[in-house]
Amino acid sequence: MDGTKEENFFEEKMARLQDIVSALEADDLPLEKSMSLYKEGLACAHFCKERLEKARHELTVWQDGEIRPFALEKEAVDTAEECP
Amino acid sequence: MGTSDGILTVRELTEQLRARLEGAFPFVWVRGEVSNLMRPGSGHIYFCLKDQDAQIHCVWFSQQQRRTDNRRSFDILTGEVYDGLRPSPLDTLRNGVTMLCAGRISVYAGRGQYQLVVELVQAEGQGALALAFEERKRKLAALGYFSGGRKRLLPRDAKRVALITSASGAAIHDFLTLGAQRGSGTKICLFPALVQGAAAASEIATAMQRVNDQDWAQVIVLIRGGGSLEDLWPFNEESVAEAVFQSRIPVLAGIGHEVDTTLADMTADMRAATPSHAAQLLWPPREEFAQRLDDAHNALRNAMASHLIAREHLLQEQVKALRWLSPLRHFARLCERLERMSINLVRALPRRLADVQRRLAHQQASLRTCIFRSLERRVYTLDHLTLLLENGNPAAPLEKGYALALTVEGEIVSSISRVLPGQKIYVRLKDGRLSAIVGTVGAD
Repeated sequence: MDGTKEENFFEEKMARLQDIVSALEADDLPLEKSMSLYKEGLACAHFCKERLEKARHELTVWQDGEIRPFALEKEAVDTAEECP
Repeated sequence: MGTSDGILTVRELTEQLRARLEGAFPFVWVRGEVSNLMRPGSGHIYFCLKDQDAQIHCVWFSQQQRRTDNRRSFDILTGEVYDGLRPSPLDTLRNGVTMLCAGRISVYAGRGQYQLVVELVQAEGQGALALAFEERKRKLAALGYFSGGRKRLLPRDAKRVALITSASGAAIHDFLTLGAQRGSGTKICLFPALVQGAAAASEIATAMQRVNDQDWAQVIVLIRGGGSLEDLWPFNEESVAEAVFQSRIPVLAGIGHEVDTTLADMTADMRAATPSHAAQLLWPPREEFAQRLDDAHNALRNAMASHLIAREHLLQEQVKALRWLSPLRHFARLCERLERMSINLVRALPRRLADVQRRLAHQQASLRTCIFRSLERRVYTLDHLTLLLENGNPAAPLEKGYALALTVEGEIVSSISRVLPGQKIYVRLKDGRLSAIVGTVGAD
Protein backbone atom coordinates (compact mmCIF):
# COMPACT_ATOMS: atom_id res chain seq x y z
CA MET A 1 0.00 0.00 0.00
CA ASP A 2 1.30 3.41 -0.87
CA GLY A 3 0.55 7.02 -0.08
CA THR A 4 2.28 7.31 3.26
CA LYS A 5 4.55 10.12 1.98
CA GLU A 6 1.98 12.75 1.10
CA GLU A 7 -0.50 12.03 3.82
CA ASN A 8 1.07 14.21 6.48
CA PHE A 9 1.43 17.31 4.33
CA PHE A 10 -1.35 19.07 6.16
CA GLU A 11 0.10 18.44 9.61
CA GLU A 12 3.63 19.12 8.38
CA LYS A 13 2.62 22.44 6.89
CA MET A 14 0.67 23.30 10.03
CA ALA A 15 3.72 22.48 12.12
CA ARG A 16 5.90 24.57 9.79
CA LEU A 17 3.45 27.45 10.15
CA GLN A 18 3.68 27.20 13.94
CA ASP A 19 7.49 27.15 13.72
CA ILE A 20 7.49 30.25 11.53
CA VAL A 21 5.20 32.07 13.98
CA SER A 22 7.53 31.12 16.84
CA ALA A 23 10.57 32.28 14.87
CA LEU A 24 8.94 35.62 14.08
CA GLU A 25 7.90 36.06 17.69
CA ALA A 26 11.48 35.43 18.81
CA ASP A 27 12.32 38.74 17.08
CA ASP A 28 16.00 38.20 16.43
CA LEU A 29 15.78 37.73 12.68
CA PRO A 30 17.11 39.99 9.95
CA LEU A 31 14.28 41.78 8.18
CA GLU A 32 14.86 40.01 4.86
CA LYS A 33 14.77 36.64 6.58
CA SER A 34 11.58 37.47 8.46
CA MET A 35 9.95 38.71 5.25
CA SER A 36 10.79 35.49 3.47
CA LEU A 37 9.54 33.48 6.47
CA TYR A 38 6.32 35.46 6.48
CA LYS A 39 5.81 34.71 2.81
CA GLU A 40 6.48 31.04 3.45
CA GLY A 41 4.03 31.12 6.37
CA LEU A 42 1.35 32.64 4.16
CA ALA A 43 1.98 29.94 1.58
CA CYS A 44 1.67 27.26 4.30
CA ALA A 45 -1.61 28.74 5.52
CA HIS A 46 -2.90 28.93 1.97
CA PHE A 47 -1.87 25.34 1.29
CA CYS A 48 -3.54 24.08 4.48
CA LYS A 49 -6.72 26.00 3.79
CA GLU A 50 -6.94 24.62 0.29
CA ARG A 51 -6.15 21.15 1.53
CA LEU A 52 -8.81 21.37 4.19
CA GLU A 53 -11.42 22.58 1.71
CA LYS A 54 -10.61 19.69 -0.59
CA ALA A 55 -10.18 17.11 2.15
CA ARG A 56 -11.98 13.88 1.35
CA HIS A 57 -11.56 10.41 2.71
CA GLU A 58 -10.36 8.03 0.05
CA LEU A 59 -12.18 4.74 0.21
CA THR A 60 -10.80 1.45 -1.06
CA VAL A 61 -11.63 -2.15 -0.44
CA TRP A 62 -9.50 -5.26 -0.01
CA GLN A 63 -10.99 -7.72 -2.44
CA ASP A 64 -9.58 -10.91 -3.90
CA GLY A 65 -6.14 -10.11 -2.59
CA GLU A 66 -5.91 -6.59 -3.96
CA ILE A 67 -6.91 -3.03 -3.20
CA ARG A 68 -9.74 -1.67 -5.32
CA PRO A 69 -11.65 1.58 -5.31
CA PHE A 70 -14.84 1.36 -3.35
CA ALA A 71 -18.04 3.36 -3.15
CA LEU A 72 -21.02 2.76 -0.95
CA GLU A 73 -23.94 1.42 -2.89
CA LYS A 74 -26.89 3.73 -2.60
CA GLU A 75 -29.36 0.88 -2.14
CA ALA A 76 -27.28 -0.71 0.52
CA VAL A 77 -27.29 2.54 2.41
CA ASP A 78 -30.98 3.07 1.93
CA THR A 79 -32.02 -0.36 3.07
CA ALA A 80 -29.45 -0.12 5.85
CA GLU A 81 -29.52 -3.82 6.50
CA GLU A 82 -26.67 -5.93 7.70
CA CYS A 83 -25.75 -8.80 5.52
CA PRO A 84 -26.77 -11.97 7.29
CA MET B 1 -48.56 -47.73 61.41
CA GLY B 2 -49.74 -46.41 64.73
CA THR B 3 -49.92 -47.70 68.28
CA SER B 4 -53.15 -48.49 70.10
CA ASP B 5 -53.12 -45.27 72.14
CA GLY B 6 -52.74 -43.16 68.95
CA ILE B 7 -49.36 -41.84 69.95
CA LEU B 8 -46.77 -41.81 67.14
CA THR B 9 -43.08 -42.19 67.41
CA VAL B 10 -40.97 -39.48 65.76
CA ARG B 11 -39.95 -41.86 63.07
CA GLU B 12 -43.60 -42.84 62.45
CA LEU B 13 -44.67 -39.20 62.14
CA THR B 14 -41.75 -38.41 59.89
CA GLU B 15 -42.55 -41.32 57.64
CA GLN B 16 -46.17 -40.15 57.36
CA LEU B 17 -45.00 -36.61 56.48
CA ARG B 18 -42.56 -37.98 53.92
CA ALA B 19 -45.28 -40.05 52.29
CA ARG B 20 -47.61 -37.06 52.01
CA LEU B 21 -45.02 -34.50 51.00
CA GLU B 22 -43.22 -36.61 48.48
CA GLY B 23 -46.54 -37.72 47.05
CA ALA B 24 -47.81 -34.17 46.74
CA PHE B 25 -44.62 -32.75 45.07
CA PRO B 26 -43.08 -35.48 42.88
CA PHE B 27 -41.58 -32.87 40.47
CA VAL B 28 -41.59 -29.16 41.00
CA TRP B 29 -39.87 -26.04 39.62
CA VAL B 30 -38.73 -23.47 42.17
CA ARG B 31 -37.25 -20.06 41.54
CA GLY B 32 -35.07 -18.45 44.18
CA GLU B 33 -31.81 -16.84 45.08
CA VAL B 34 -28.97 -19.18 45.93
CA SER B 35 -27.43 -18.85 49.39
CA ASN B 36 -25.36 -20.95 51.79
CA LEU B 37 -23.82 -22.79 48.86
CA MET B 38 -21.54 -25.63 49.99
CA ARG B 39 -19.55 -28.02 47.83
CA PRO B 40 -18.04 -30.60 50.21
CA GLY B 41 -15.63 -33.31 49.10
CA SER B 42 -18.45 -35.81 48.63
CA GLY B 43 -19.33 -34.03 45.39
CA HIS B 44 -22.90 -33.36 46.48
CA ILE B 45 -23.90 -29.71 46.42
CA TYR B 46 -25.92 -28.16 49.23
CA PHE B 47 -27.58 -24.77 49.11
CA CYS B 48 -30.69 -22.83 49.98
CA LEU B 49 -33.10 -21.16 47.62
CA LYS B 50 -34.69 -18.12 49.19
CA ASP B 51 -36.80 -15.15 48.49
CA GLN B 52 -37.91 -12.31 50.76
CA ASP B 53 -40.17 -14.42 52.95
CA ALA B 54 -39.00 -17.99 52.88
CA GLN B 55 -36.25 -20.39 52.10
CA ILE B 56 -35.92 -24.03 51.21
CA HIS B 57 -32.97 -26.36 51.62
CA CYS B 58 -31.75 -27.99 48.43
CA VAL B 59 -29.43 -30.85 47.74
CA TRP B 60 -27.98 -31.66 44.34
CA PHE B 61 -26.49 -35.12 44.46
CA SER B 62 -23.48 -35.85 42.38
CA GLN B 63 -25.31 -38.56 40.42
CA GLN B 64 -27.87 -35.95 39.34
CA GLN B 65 -25.15 -33.50 38.44
CA ARG B 66 -23.81 -35.92 35.83
CA ARG B 67 -27.04 -35.61 33.96
CA THR B 68 -26.14 -31.99 33.26
CA ASP B 69 -24.47 -32.78 29.99
CA ASN B 70 -23.17 -29.53 28.58
CA ARG B 71 -22.09 -31.17 25.34
CA ARG B 72 -25.70 -31.31 24.28
CA SER B 73 -26.40 -28.66 21.63
CA PHE B 74 -29.93 -28.00 22.86
CA ASP B 75 -31.56 -27.41 26.19
CA ILE B 76 -33.56 -30.46 27.28
CA LEU B 77 -35.99 -28.28 29.19
CA THR B 78 -36.58 -25.34 26.90
CA GLY B 79 -35.53 -26.80 23.58
CA GLU B 80 -33.19 -23.81 23.01
CA VAL B 81 -30.54 -24.69 20.46
CA TYR B 82 -26.96 -23.64 21.07
CA ASP B 83 -24.33 -22.71 18.54
CA GLY B 84 -21.42 -23.62 20.70
CA LEU B 85 -20.90 -25.23 24.05
CA ARG B 86 -23.65 -24.77 26.52
CA PRO B 87 -22.61 -23.23 29.83
CA SER B 88 -22.71 -25.66 32.71
CA PRO B 89 -25.02 -24.76 35.62
CA LEU B 90 -22.35 -26.27 37.82
CA ASP B 91 -20.26 -23.23 36.96
CA THR B 92 -23.01 -20.68 37.11
CA LEU B 93 -24.36 -21.79 40.47
CA ARG B 94 -23.13 -19.14 42.90
CA ASN B 95 -24.38 -17.39 45.99
CA GLY B 96 -26.62 -14.45 45.12
CA VAL B 97 -27.59 -15.78 41.70
CA THR B 98 -31.25 -16.40 41.03
CA MET B 99 -31.70 -19.92 39.67
CA LEU B 100 -34.49 -22.17 38.50
CA CYS B 101 -34.30 -25.62 40.12
CA ALA B 102 -36.39 -28.64 39.29
CA GLY B 103 -36.73 -31.74 41.48
CA ARG B 104 -38.81 -33.50 44.08
CA ILE B 105 -39.57 -32.63 47.69
CA SER B 106 -38.21 -35.12 50.18
CA VAL B 107 -38.02 -35.27 53.94
CA TYR B 108 -34.66 -35.67 55.57
CA ALA B 109 -35.56 -37.66 58.65
CA GLY B 110 -32.20 -37.24 60.36
CA ARG B 111 -32.76 -33.46 60.71
CA GLY B 112 -36.49 -33.41 60.53
CA GLN B 113 -36.52 -31.07 57.60
CA TYR B 114 -37.94 -31.10 54.13
CA GLN B 115 -35.76 -30.31 51.17
CA LEU B 116 -35.67 -30.10 47.42
CA VAL B 117 -33.73 -32.90 45.82
CA VAL B 118 -32.54 -31.08 42.75
CA GLU B 119 -32.43 -32.76 39.37
CA LEU B 120 -32.10 -29.83 36.97
CA VAL B 121 -30.66 -26.38 37.44
CA GLN B 122 -30.88 -23.38 35.13
CA ALA B 123 -30.11 -19.72 35.54
CA GLU B 124 -33.30 -17.77 35.85
CA GLY B 125 -34.07 -15.01 33.40
CA GLN B 126 -30.84 -15.45 31.46
CA GLY B 127 -30.50 -17.22 28.21
CA ALA B 128 -27.61 -19.47 27.54
CA LEU B 129 -25.87 -16.75 25.51
CA ALA B 130 -25.93 -14.34 28.42
CA LEU B 131 -24.46 -17.02 30.62
CA ALA B 132 -21.80 -17.83 28.06
CA PHE B 133 -21.06 -14.12 27.80
CA GLU B 134 -20.56 -13.86 31.56
CA GLU B 135 -18.40 -16.95 31.56
CA ARG B 136 -16.16 -15.72 28.78
CA LYS B 137 -16.02 -12.28 30.28
CA ARG B 138 -14.66 -13.75 33.49
CA LYS B 139 -12.21 -15.91 31.62
CA LEU B 140 -10.89 -13.14 29.35
CA ALA B 141 -10.71 -10.70 32.25
CA ALA B 142 -8.54 -13.23 34.06
CA LEU B 143 -6.29 -13.32 30.98
CA GLY B 144 -5.92 -9.56 31.15
CA TYR B 145 -7.85 -8.80 27.95
CA PHE B 146 -9.66 -5.85 29.49
CA SER B 147 -6.74 -4.46 31.45
CA GLY B 148 -6.57 -0.67 31.26
CA GLY B 149 -2.78 -0.86 31.18
CA ARG B 150 -2.66 -2.36 27.71
CA LYS B 151 -4.97 0.20 26.09
CA ARG B 152 -3.12 2.21 23.48
CA LEU B 153 -3.89 5.75 22.38
CA LEU B 154 -5.39 6.15 18.95
CA PRO B 155 -3.41 8.30 16.50
CA ARG B 156 -4.87 11.79 16.22
CA ASP B 157 -6.46 12.41 12.82
CA ALA B 158 -5.45 8.95 11.57
CA LYS B 159 -4.37 8.89 7.95
CA ARG B 160 -4.49 5.15 7.25
CA VAL B 161 -7.52 3.36 8.58
CA ALA B 162 -8.41 -0.28 8.15
CA LEU B 163 -12.18 -0.70 8.39
CA ILE B 164 -13.48 -4.13 9.27
CA THR B 165 -17.21 -4.47 8.83
CA SER B 166 -19.85 -5.47 6.33
CA ALA B 167 -19.55 -3.72 2.96
CA SER B 168 -23.22 -2.86 3.17
CA GLY B 169 -25.47 -1.84 6.00
CA ALA B 170 -26.01 0.94 8.46
CA ALA B 171 -22.68 0.69 10.24
CA ILE B 172 -20.38 1.57 7.31
CA HIS B 173 -22.88 4.15 6.09
CA ASP B 174 -23.09 5.91 9.47
CA PHE B 175 -19.34 5.73 9.93
CA LEU B 176 -18.51 7.19 6.53
CA THR B 177 -21.29 9.78 6.58
CA LEU B 178 -20.12 11.25 9.86
CA GLY B 179 -16.48 10.73 8.93
CA ALA B 180 -16.96 12.88 5.83
CA GLN B 181 -17.40 15.93 8.07
CA ARG B 182 -14.27 15.22 10.01
CA GLY B 183 -10.51 14.81 9.68
CA SER B 184 -8.21 16.28 7.07
CA GLY B 185 -8.39 13.46 4.52
CA THR B 186 -7.78 9.82 5.29
CA LYS B 187 -7.17 6.67 3.29
CA ILE B 188 -9.71 4.13 4.44
CA CYS B 189 -9.38 0.54 3.33
CA LEU B 190 -12.40 -1.65 3.90
CA PHE B 191 -11.74 -5.26 4.79
CA PRO B 192 -15.20 -6.75 4.27
CA ALA B 193 -16.33 -9.33 6.79
CA LEU B 194 -19.61 -10.89 7.73
CA VAL B 195 -20.75 -9.42 11.01
CA GLN B 196 -23.52 -11.88 11.77
CA GLY B 197 -23.94 -15.62 11.61
CA ALA B 198 -21.77 -18.64 12.06
CA ALA B 199 -18.99 -17.59 9.69
CA ALA B 200 -18.72 -14.02 10.99
CA ALA B 201 -16.29 -14.62 13.86
CA SER B 202 -13.71 -16.36 11.71
CA GLU B 203 -14.05 -13.74 8.93
CA ILE B 204 -13.53 -10.94 11.41
CA ALA B 205 -10.53 -12.69 12.99
CA THR B 206 -9.04 -13.36 9.54
CA ALA B 207 -9.51 -9.73 8.52
CA MET B 208 -7.82 -8.60 11.76
CA GLN B 209 -4.93 -10.89 11.02
CA ARG B 210 -4.65 -9.65 7.42
CA VAL B 211 -4.58 -6.01 8.48
CA ASN B 212 -1.85 -6.79 10.98
CA ASP B 213 0.14 -8.75 8.38
CA GLN B 214 0.00 -5.87 5.92
CA ASP B 215 1.16 -3.44 8.60
CA TRP B 216 -0.19 -0.49 6.66
CA ALA B 217 -2.95 0.85 8.86
CA GLN B 218 -2.44 3.15 11.83
CA VAL B 219 -5.67 2.03 13.40
CA ILE B 220 -8.26 -0.72 12.93
CA VAL B 221 -11.91 0.26 13.13
CA LEU B 222 -14.19 -2.66 13.92
CA ILE B 223 -17.85 -1.69 13.67
CA ARG B 224 -21.30 -3.18 13.41
CA GLY B 225 -24.82 -1.79 13.64
CA GLY B 226 -27.25 -2.60 16.42
CA GLY B 227 -28.93 -5.94 16.92
CA SER B 228 -29.96 -8.53 19.44
CA LEU B 229 -27.48 -10.33 21.65
CA GLU B 230 -27.63 -13.19 19.16
CA ASP B 231 -26.92 -10.82 16.26
CA LEU B 232 -23.91 -9.37 18.03
CA TRP B 233 -22.71 -12.75 19.17
CA PRO B 234 -19.72 -13.07 16.78
CA PHE B 235 -18.17 -10.14 18.64
CA ASN B 236 -18.38 -12.16 21.83
CA GLU B 237 -16.55 -15.10 20.35
CA GLU B 238 -13.18 -15.76 21.86
CA SER B 239 -11.52 -15.90 18.44
CA VAL B 240 -12.56 -12.29 17.76
CA ALA B 241 -11.62 -11.07 21.22
CA GLU B 242 -8.28 -12.81 20.86
CA ALA B 243 -7.65 -11.24 17.43
CA VAL B 244 -8.37 -7.82 18.94
CA PHE B 245 -6.19 -8.60 21.94
CA GLN B 246 -3.26 -9.68 19.78
CA SER B 247 -3.50 -6.90 17.21
CA ARG B 248 -0.27 -4.88 17.02
CA ILE B 249 -2.32 -2.06 15.53
CA PRO B 250 -4.62 -0.19 17.94
CA VAL B 251 -8.26 -1.20 17.61
CA LEU B 252 -11.27 1.10 17.86
CA ALA B 253 -14.48 -0.91 18.26
CA GLY B 254 -17.99 0.44 17.84
CA ILE B 255 -20.44 -2.45 17.95
CA GLY B 256 -24.19 -2.18 18.28
CA HIS B 257 -25.96 0.59 20.17
CA GLU B 258 -24.92 2.44 23.29
CA VAL B 259 -26.33 -0.24 25.57
CA ASP B 260 -24.50 -3.10 23.87
CA THR B 261 -21.10 -4.12 25.09
CA THR B 262 -19.38 -7.05 23.46
CA LEU B 263 -16.17 -8.75 24.47
CA ALA B 264 -14.54 -7.31 21.35
CA ASP B 265 -15.56 -3.82 22.56
CA MET B 266 -14.13 -4.50 25.97
CA THR B 267 -10.87 -5.84 24.56
CA ALA B 268 -10.39 -3.00 22.07
CA ASP B 269 -8.02 -0.13 22.84
CA MET B 270 -10.94 2.23 22.65
CA ARG B 271 -14.65 1.58 22.66
CA ALA B 272 -17.09 3.69 20.72
CA ALA B 273 -20.77 3.47 21.63
CA THR B 274 -21.85 3.29 17.96
CA PRO B 275 -20.23 3.29 14.50
CA SER B 276 -20.95 7.05 14.27
CA HIS B 277 -19.26 7.57 17.59
CA ALA B 278 -16.26 5.66 16.24
CA ALA B 279 -15.93 8.26 13.48
CA GLN B 280 -16.15 11.01 16.12
CA LEU B 281 -13.43 9.42 18.20
CA LEU B 282 -11.22 8.84 15.18
CA TRP B 283 -11.21 12.27 13.58
CA PRO B 284 -11.52 15.78 14.98
CA PRO B 285 -14.25 17.86 13.31
CA ARG B 286 -13.09 19.72 10.24
CA GLU B 287 -14.03 23.05 11.86
CA GLU B 288 -11.42 22.34 14.51
CA PHE B 289 -8.74 22.19 11.81
CA ALA B 290 -10.12 25.34 10.22
CA GLN B 291 -10.01 27.09 13.58
CA ARG B 292 -6.46 25.92 14.25
CA LEU B 293 -5.52 27.15 10.81
CA ASP B 294 -7.18 30.53 11.37
CA ASP B 295 -5.45 30.87 14.72
CA ALA B 296 -2.09 30.08 13.17
CA HIS B 297 -2.78 32.49 10.30
CA ASN B 298 -3.65 35.29 12.73
CA ALA B 299 -0.63 34.49 14.84
CA LEU B 300 1.53 34.74 11.72
CA ARG B 301 0.12 38.17 10.83
CA ASN B 302 0.47 39.43 14.40
CA ALA B 303 3.98 38.10 14.73
CA MET B 304 5.01 39.78 11.49
CA ALA B 305 3.33 43.05 12.52
CA SER B 306 5.09 43.00 15.91
CA HIS B 307 8.32 42.16 14.17
CA LEU B 308 7.96 45.13 11.82
CA ILE B 309 7.02 47.48 14.65
CA ALA B 310 10.06 46.35 16.59
CA ARG B 311 12.24 46.93 13.53
CA GLU B 312 10.76 50.40 13.07
CA HIS B 313 11.53 51.27 16.69
CA LEU B 314 15.04 50.07 16.20
CA LEU B 315 15.34 52.14 13.04
CA GLN B 316 14.13 55.25 14.85
CA GLU B 317 16.67 54.68 17.57
CA GLN B 318 19.41 54.34 15.01
CA VAL B 319 18.33 57.53 13.20
CA LYS B 320 18.45 59.33 16.52
CA ALA B 321 21.90 57.95 17.19
CA LEU B 322 23.03 58.89 13.70
CA ARG B 323 21.84 62.46 14.18
CA TRP B 324 23.79 62.67 17.38
CA LEU B 325 26.90 61.48 15.64
CA SER B 326 26.57 63.72 12.52
CA PRO B 327 29.51 66.17 11.61
CA LEU B 328 27.26 69.19 12.09
CA ARG B 329 26.43 67.99 15.55
CA HIS B 330 30.09 67.31 16.17
CA PHE B 331 31.00 70.84 15.05
CA ALA B 332 28.35 72.29 17.30
CA ARG B 333 29.73 70.29 20.18
CA LEU B 334 33.26 71.54 19.42
CA CYS B 335 32.03 75.15 19.33
CA GLU B 336 30.31 74.64 22.59
CA ARG B 337 33.48 73.27 24.06
CA LEU B 338 35.52 76.17 22.73
CA GLU B 339 33.07 78.63 24.22
CA ARG B 340 33.34 76.93 27.53
CA MET B 341 37.10 77.03 27.37
CA SER B 342 37.10 80.74 26.45
CA ILE B 343 34.99 81.55 29.41
CA ASN B 344 37.30 79.57 31.60
CA LEU B 345 40.25 81.36 30.08
CA VAL B 346 38.80 84.79 30.74
CA ARG B 347 38.03 83.83 34.23
CA ALA B 348 41.46 82.32 34.69
CA LEU B 349 43.54 85.44 33.66
CA PRO B 350 42.86 87.79 36.61
CA ARG B 351 43.27 84.91 38.93
CA ARG B 352 46.59 84.13 37.31
CA LEU B 353 47.75 87.77 37.53
CA ALA B 354 46.84 88.05 41.16
CA ASP B 355 48.68 84.88 41.72
CA VAL B 356 51.81 86.15 39.97
CA GLN B 357 51.64 89.43 41.87
CA ARG B 358 51.31 87.58 45.09
CA ARG B 359 54.31 85.49 44.25
CA LEU B 360 56.26 88.60 43.13
CA ALA B 361 55.54 90.42 46.37
CA HIS B 362 56.56 87.46 48.28
CA GLN B 363 59.81 87.20 46.39
CA GLN B 364 60.45 90.91 46.77
CA ALA B 365 60.08 90.55 50.47
CA SER B 366 62.39 87.61 50.45
CA LEU B 367 64.88 89.56 48.39
CA ARG B 368 64.74 92.46 50.77
CA THR B 369 65.37 90.23 53.70
CA CYS B 370 68.25 88.59 51.91
CA ILE B 371 69.92 91.91 51.01
CA PHE B 372 69.45 93.22 54.49
CA ARG B 373 71.01 90.13 55.96
CA SER B 374 73.82 90.23 53.45
CA LEU B 375 74.54 93.90 54.27
CA GLU B 376 74.47 93.17 57.93
CA ARG B 377 76.90 90.36 57.39
CA ARG B 378 79.17 92.64 55.38
CA VAL B 379 79.04 95.47 57.94
CA TYR B 380 80.02 93.01 60.56
CA THR B 381 82.85 91.70 58.42
CA LEU B 382 83.94 95.28 57.67
CA ASP B 383 83.99 96.12 61.32
CA HIS B 384 85.95 93.05 62.06
CA LEU B 385 88.41 93.72 59.27
CA THR B 386 88.70 97.36 60.32
CA LEU B 387 89.53 96.16 63.74
CA LEU B 388 92.04 93.74 62.36
CA LEU B 389 93.40 96.46 60.11
CA GLU B 390 93.71 98.74 63.03
CA ASN B 391 95.64 96.10 64.83
CA GLY B 392 97.96 95.67 61.81
CA ASN B 393 98.68 99.41 61.37
CA PRO B 394 102.46 99.93 61.75
CA ALA B 395 101.83 103.37 63.17
CA ALA B 396 99.61 101.99 65.81
CA PRO B 397 102.44 101.05 68.23
CA LEU B 398 103.77 104.58 67.84
CA GLU B 399 100.84 105.72 69.92
CA LYS B 400 102.07 103.50 72.71
CA GLY B 401 105.56 105.00 72.51
CA TYR B 402 107.22 102.69 70.05
CA ALA B 403 109.36 104.09 67.21
CA LEU B 404 109.61 103.07 63.58
CA ALA B 405 112.99 103.08 61.79
CA LEU B 406 112.93 103.93 58.10
CA THR B 407 115.61 104.17 55.51
CA VAL B 408 116.06 107.33 53.60
CA GLU B 409 114.18 105.66 50.83
CA GLY B 410 111.31 105.16 53.21
CA GLU B 411 111.63 101.46 53.73
CA ILE B 412 111.07 100.00 57.13
CA VAL B 413 114.25 98.85 58.84
CA SER B 414 113.03 95.55 60.11
CA SER B 415 116.51 93.99 60.58
CA ILE B 416 120.02 95.13 61.51
CA SER B 417 121.16 93.69 58.28
CA ARG B 418 119.37 96.48 56.39
CA VAL B 419 121.64 99.22 57.85
CA LEU B 420 125.25 99.95 58.17
CA PRO B 421 127.04 102.00 60.84
CA GLY B 422 127.13 105.62 59.80
CA GLN B 423 123.99 105.27 57.61
CA LYS B 424 121.43 107.98 57.87
CA ILE B 425 118.02 106.79 58.92
CA TYR B 426 114.74 108.30 59.96
CA VAL B 427 113.02 107.48 63.17
CA ARG B 428 109.35 108.05 63.22
CA LEU B 429 107.62 108.72 66.49
CA LYS B 430 104.02 109.35 67.46
CA ASP B 431 104.07 112.94 66.73
CA GLY B 432 106.79 113.30 64.02
CA ARG B 433 110.15 112.11 62.76
CA LEU B 434 113.70 112.69 63.40
CA SER B 435 116.82 111.81 61.50
CA ALA B 436 119.62 109.85 63.08
CA ILE B 437 122.96 108.30 62.26
CA VAL B 438 123.53 104.59 62.97
CA GLY B 439 126.33 104.16 65.44
CA THR B 440 127.17 100.58 65.93
CA VAL B 441 125.35 97.63 64.60
CA GLY B 442 125.25 94.49 66.57
CA ALA B 443 122.87 91.93 67.88
CA ASP B 444 121.50 92.09 71.42
